[in-house]
Order: sequence, then structure tokens, then C-alpha cells
Amino acid sequence: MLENKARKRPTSPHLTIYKWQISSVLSIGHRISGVAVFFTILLSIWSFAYWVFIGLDAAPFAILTHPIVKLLLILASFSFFYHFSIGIRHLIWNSGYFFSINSVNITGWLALLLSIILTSIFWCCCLW
Amino acid sequence: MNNMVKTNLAQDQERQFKSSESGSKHWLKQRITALLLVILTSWLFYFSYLISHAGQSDEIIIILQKPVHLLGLIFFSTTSLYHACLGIEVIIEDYIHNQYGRVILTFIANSLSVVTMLIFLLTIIQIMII
Repeated sequence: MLENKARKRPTSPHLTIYKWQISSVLSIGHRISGVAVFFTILLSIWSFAYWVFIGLDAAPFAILTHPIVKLLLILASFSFFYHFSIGIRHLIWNSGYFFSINSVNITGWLALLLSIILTSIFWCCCLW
Repeated sequence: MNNMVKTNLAQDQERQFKSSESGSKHWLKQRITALLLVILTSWLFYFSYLISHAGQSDEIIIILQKPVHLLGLIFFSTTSLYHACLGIEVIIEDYIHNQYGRVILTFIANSLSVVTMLIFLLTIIQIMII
């Protein structure tokens, strides 16, 4: 990368000309959801500390019922379960299975389906 | 010629980063924490179920004070934050090409995690002595 810059050559990944594929979309989604989960965990720990130290029945938690906040919570839980499912897919690859193009596509859709199912179960059983 | 010298210098600077020094260890640490997190997530699911079905704050405190759930919380938080630090370091190294930007951003991500972990441990101690 640095060498290319020094010689003013074009750099390799021309992302804009690629056709969208399930594998590449899931891969970048894994990174984005990872960052999202990181901030979700930080926020959860901070609100947990706030709840314990400042107010066990604190007023700020009333915003959790606001529709936009609820939507954000659904997105946050979805990114958690998405990162979880795709992570399991990566662990299976690391143990040396499912490398053919066909199985990469199938496991991709399966992981996406699993993350949607887990998010739905989570919201049906735990919240609401 | 000048360019070549510069490139070598840049490569030497690259080697100062952790992942270029011991990339395989970094990779392995990320997979081991991932495996642990798969197990811990099933606990988290059960824990969320218990918490959401407890009505009052006192009931939640009683659940939190059980050793299993205290240990679960501690293990989940430390493992997930460590896993996150490893992952975010890779993302920063992939997308930030400026040397100083990389160091500063990695430092910010790591210190955020450490400070949050300290706050979390204080909270756990508070829960234990309530």
C-alpha cells in the first residue's frame, strides 16, 4: 500500500466496480456489527454502573420505552446475534470445513437466518 | 532511489506494530476468545431471560448476587472487551494508513475498554456489598 502510494500507482480494491455478493456483504457486515457491539457493550456497562450507583429506579431509563430508542435496541441486539452467527461460521472455516463457493453461499444465508431467528426469540422471550 | 529508502523505512516502522510482530498469536487469541464467547453467550441469553422476568430492582439484585451470574458477568465483560480490542486493532490497521492515526486510535479504543472494565469491577463490588 505504502509502496503504491510512493509510486502513484492505483491501489488495488476498486470496491465500486464489484457486483454485490452475499460473501462480501456479510464480511463487511461482520466488521461493522463488531464495532456496533463494542459500543453496545460499553454503553450497557455504563448504564449498569449508573443504575447501581446513582439510581436503582432512575428516571433516565424511561427513555428505553421511546420508539426510536427501542428501534436502536433492536438494531443493537441484531448486530450482536449477527456477529455471533457469522463468528461461528468463521470458526467453522478456521477448523477447515465449508470452503467451496456453494457452501460459502449456503452457510452465509444460514448464518443470516440464524441471527434473525435469535433476535426474534430474544425479543419475544426477554423484552416486550 | 530516494523512494526505495523511504519505503524500507516505512516497512521498518510497520514492524513496530503488534500484529506484524506476532500476527499468528493475535489471530489465535481472537479465535480462543471467540470460542469462549460462544459459550458465554448462551449464559447471557438465560441471564437476560431471568433479568427481564424479574419485576422489581430488589429481585434483580438477588439474581445478580448469585455467584454463577456474578462470574458470568465478569467473564463475559472481560472476554468480550478483550475480543473487541483485538478486532478493532485489526480494523484500524486495515483502514487507517496514517501511522500516528493508527497508534492514537488503537490507544483510545484500548483505554476506553480498560476504563470501562474498571467501572464495571467497581459496580460488581458494589453489587456484592449491597
